[in-house]
Amino acid sequence: MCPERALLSPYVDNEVDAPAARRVEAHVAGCGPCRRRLRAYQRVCNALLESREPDVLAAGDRVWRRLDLARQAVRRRASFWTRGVRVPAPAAVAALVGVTLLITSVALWARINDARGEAANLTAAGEQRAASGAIVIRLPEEPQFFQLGQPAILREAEVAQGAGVTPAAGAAGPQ
Amino acid sequence: MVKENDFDRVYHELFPTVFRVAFRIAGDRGLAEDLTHEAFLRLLGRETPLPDIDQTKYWLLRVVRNLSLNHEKRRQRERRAVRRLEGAGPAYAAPADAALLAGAARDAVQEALNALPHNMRTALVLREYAGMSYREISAALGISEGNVKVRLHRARQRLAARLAGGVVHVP
Repeated sequence: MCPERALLSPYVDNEVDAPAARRVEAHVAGCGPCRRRLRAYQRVCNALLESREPDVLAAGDRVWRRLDLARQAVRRRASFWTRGVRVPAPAAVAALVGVTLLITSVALWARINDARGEAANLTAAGEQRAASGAIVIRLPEEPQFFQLGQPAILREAEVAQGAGVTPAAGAAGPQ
Repeated sequence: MVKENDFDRVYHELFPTVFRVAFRIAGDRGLAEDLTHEAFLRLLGRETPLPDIDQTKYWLLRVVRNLSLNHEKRRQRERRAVRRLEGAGPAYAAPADAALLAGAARDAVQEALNALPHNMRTALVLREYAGMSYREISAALGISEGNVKVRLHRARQRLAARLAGGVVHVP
């Protein structure tokens, strides 16, 4: 097989560089089979280009009308609830941050209100116990302790006055 | 989704090429219109726009190629099924209009193109009717330039043999 045969088709398509094109031309000038093959390829190109084709403009109009109908149908189908909305990315991020801040501040506000309400309730309950002469038994706040004596016994009224809890030395305390 | 103004411009610029390619690959005007319609409809529904007109053209041609390949496979399956049914008895003979279509005079070049394997036909059609370079065909079909060269070479060999009555040897 001629070494230049594989170049004949790219040569017809102008897809070979100038040195390769010169090589092909020189080879074809002296090789009958390759010359016939090259002519056959060129005839194929001409036949393809000259072959009949349908009216492109008319086809374009027909397809355009069909596309237009399809587009109208899509527009009709797109109701309010299914219609997509395009939002620029910075605006979407800003909206997300805003919503997060709003939720956080509402949650904080609710917690602060709860704490205030609880404090008010405790104060009211304390006052009520003080008025009734109730006795408060307060244990040390450390998590571990030994009960080596009697716990401090204070009157609620004294606690409310800030008398402090000073349990009797050795009564209860951490080791 | 592609903006309507952009779509109109793209349609008027690319329709002739896409339709010619579809017609030459499919070998039938009605089918070519269907393929082109479907390709542009898909372009219209694309969520992400394509970067430029060349990429849009390659994308549309790929869609046409894939749709036509699917259609061809389906048609081959149907033909096989019809042949099996024909073998089962005379009651399932092919309809009369199919015989008329087969016998109708058609363009010899288009007939020769139709006889090529789909991958060779697509490469040749993109080269001859879309005027695409080997590099562009390679980008549009997602194959190497070497592969494009081989497909075109073989397609021309077969076409030349068919059109010139076997002057060129076909391996």
